[in-house]
Amino acid sequence: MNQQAVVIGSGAAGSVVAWELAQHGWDVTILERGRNLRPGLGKRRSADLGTHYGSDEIKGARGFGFPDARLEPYTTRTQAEAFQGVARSATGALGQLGAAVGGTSLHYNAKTPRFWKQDFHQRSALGPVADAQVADWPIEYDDLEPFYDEVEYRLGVQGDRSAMPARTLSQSPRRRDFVQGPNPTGYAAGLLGQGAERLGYEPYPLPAAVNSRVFQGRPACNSCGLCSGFGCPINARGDALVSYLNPALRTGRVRVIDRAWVHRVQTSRDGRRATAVLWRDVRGREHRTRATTVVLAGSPINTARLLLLSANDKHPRGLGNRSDQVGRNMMFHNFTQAAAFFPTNVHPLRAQSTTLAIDDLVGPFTGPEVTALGVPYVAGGVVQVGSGAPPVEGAKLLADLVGYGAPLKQILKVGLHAGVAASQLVHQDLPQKHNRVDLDPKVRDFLGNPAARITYSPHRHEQAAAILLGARLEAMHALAPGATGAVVLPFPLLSDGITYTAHLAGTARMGRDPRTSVCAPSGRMHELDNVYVADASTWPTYPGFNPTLTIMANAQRIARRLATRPGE
Amino acid sequence: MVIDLPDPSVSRRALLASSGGLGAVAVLGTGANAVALPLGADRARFLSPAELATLRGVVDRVVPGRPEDSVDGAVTARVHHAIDSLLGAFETDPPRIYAGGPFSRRGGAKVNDFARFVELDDYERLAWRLRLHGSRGRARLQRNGATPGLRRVYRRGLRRLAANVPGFAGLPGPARDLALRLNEDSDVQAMLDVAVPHTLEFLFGAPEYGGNHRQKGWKAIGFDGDRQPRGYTRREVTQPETELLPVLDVPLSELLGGSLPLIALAPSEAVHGLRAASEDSFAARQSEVQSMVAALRQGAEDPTSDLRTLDALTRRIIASTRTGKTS
Repeated sequence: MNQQAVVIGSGAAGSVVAWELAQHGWDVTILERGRNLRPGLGKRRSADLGTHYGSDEIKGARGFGFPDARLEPYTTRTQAEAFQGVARSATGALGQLGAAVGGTSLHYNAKTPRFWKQDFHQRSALGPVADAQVADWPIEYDDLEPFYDEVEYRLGVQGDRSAMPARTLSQSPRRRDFVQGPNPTGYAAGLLGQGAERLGYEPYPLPAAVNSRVFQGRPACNSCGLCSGFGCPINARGDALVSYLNPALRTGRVRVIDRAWVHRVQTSRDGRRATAVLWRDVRGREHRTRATTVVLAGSPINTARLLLLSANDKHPRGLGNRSDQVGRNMMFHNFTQAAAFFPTNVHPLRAQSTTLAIDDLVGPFTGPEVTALGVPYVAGGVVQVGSGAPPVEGAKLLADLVGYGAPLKQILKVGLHAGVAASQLVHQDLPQKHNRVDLDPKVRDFLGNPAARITYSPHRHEQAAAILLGARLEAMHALAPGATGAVVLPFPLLSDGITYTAHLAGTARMGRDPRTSVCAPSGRMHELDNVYVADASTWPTYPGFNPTLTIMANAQRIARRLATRPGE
Repeated sequence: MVIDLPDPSVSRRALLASSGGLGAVAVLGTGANAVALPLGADRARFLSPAELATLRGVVDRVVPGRPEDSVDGAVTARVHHAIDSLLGAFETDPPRIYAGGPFSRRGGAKVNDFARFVELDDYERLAWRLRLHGSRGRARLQRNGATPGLRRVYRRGLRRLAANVPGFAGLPGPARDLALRLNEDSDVQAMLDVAVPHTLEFLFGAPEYGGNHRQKGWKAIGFDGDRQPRGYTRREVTQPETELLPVLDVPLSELLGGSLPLIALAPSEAVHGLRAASEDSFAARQSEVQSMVAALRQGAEDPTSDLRTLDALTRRIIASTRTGKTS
């Protein structure tokens, strides 16, 4: 009999795990709560798949491919509210990732920077930070590099190694050049890039899993600009579905069951082994899928929720939670945005979503200016340069600001999509004990299971970073040629809660010490012989780079080790 | 809470079916007030003619058009009809919730895929019936409390508005503005709360949803619309025509009243979060944004605040760069 695994979640982590295990002859069943939105899945090659997506903003506004806020709510509160005993201050689709076969990668932006060498040992290099649980990763950049390379070549990542700053290349060395060259740089991004150069920064083409030429039968991107939140209508992006899941299904060794809501991992009597996974279908009927290996890949909030829902006699605080770390260290990328105003139409939407990156705000930054802000160091992240707002989103935001009616109409005619070009800094978010996922005591999903409750507030570090780096970001926009003004929006300074971005990590950190971590470096849970976590839940810290590429590379690392050295 | 409003969808569906192959008649209103009207074959309807007229008067105030402004607004873009179609979405099959993909014909495709709506699966039907029709006492749909449904929110709000402000639909624009802004009726405010974002969605969304008629919404703001599969050429991307934008009668900063920095929200991932947090309720979104505006104002006034520190740093960097010194 072949080795067999049940994988929970078909997104960036789950699809890669299924594909890798299938390469080693395993039989894999994937359970996915979303539906399939790509006609022909498993039957046709990825280049020939259909799609229900289009350049259609209303679909995004209606949560196409997302969980419904009423049927599957999350609840949230800030740390201060939690200490005051407030059970929750918001309920709804909060911080929800997509729910579809292929996961959120169906409509991601496909920005694929790598993490840096320094990210894997930040605790040793920079020391502790008060009220944070910064930890070294139990692996190094060099452990991930072969998988970065493999994943980039399957996805078809574009970029230009010769244009990358020396520090970026030394911190994230690459064994070979990108699969494809970069797409044309957007005009607006180019203007902002010139502003950055005046500050001595080095903008370069942002690596992205977007075709700049025909790749594996899929066409080149044509710069329509409607990327974030839109599935690519012409199939020009590499993602979990076209690059991994569909090829995996076509091996005949992988199947995906959609609209399956997993609510419990069952264990043997001694609690050491998972024996089955329990799930419900949309009508509420219960199903049981036997398992000899279980891989959790439902993204950090859902993975933590499932572990907590799976509590039993041997695991009274949740599966594999003797450390009390399950659900803790919930990390979100905060963003600080800046925008430049132009009196002319600079067409910020007319380009692949983001064409330039700047790494000059990655840091870490130290010195008197930093200590004056109350932290030992500031770790920033990548700056995504030059994007615009499509009209529905822009109009709604303006209505929030000025109300409806004649003044709104006046501003709409000028158009946020025309004369405003913006960039965003992806903030490193430090792990905190009290930023956590637990089970809401009252709110339930439509199947009757407790909702995930997220308690979150940014750390002083994120606020300090927003001050120090927000100033540089705003200056860069003010200095863009032709700009008549610039503004900055430092989120961590404006809100004590979550900004609900789609970038999540933490909740089941990996480490060598079972007292302080949930998973071993192999991704196997310390307390179980055959349960693995393969998604971004395992990350001890959250470097300021878009996460999907690293999710995929780490998932492949975990799956290959599982296939070749099971139980390690 | 007792739901006392009639829900005529079932009988209307039966009537639609009984109109045979024509599919061109819908019955509006209920009971003795029912009226049959000729319709486009693919348009569902929910509101009565009187309710629709009131809604027309509302969306016209959200984004006014001629004669008070030189370009089209919500009414000529048929936004009120689009909202009505959404409320009656389940009267066509598939329900008109998600337009199909990948292309309309506006970007050079031969077939308009947007015109064939996506077949909903059981989960999506459950979610959208709940959103439109409400939880209607079904236990598993109201584990966390009852949901009234958009149909009831609109119908109640429009009826109350018509009752509170006799002749609302026929009043001049400024009078309707006052009637909406001064109206303290909770049903009217609940209706406005969803009508504002819906108006903007249908005005600037794809025309297949029933609004943005003849792309009047996109034309009003100079937006190209959906461009796939044609997209843009390298030249259009790197060397576009950078025409001057319209100059506002009133300075932008004045219109935005000190909340200028929040413009930076617009192109961000974070704005999706804002929408998620407020469930697209206009009031909830406004209150979130206003709390940030308040934080910005407070920060601007307090010399020791983080925002003032940020601002001082920014000015220093810009000044030293302009004078040729590196920061």
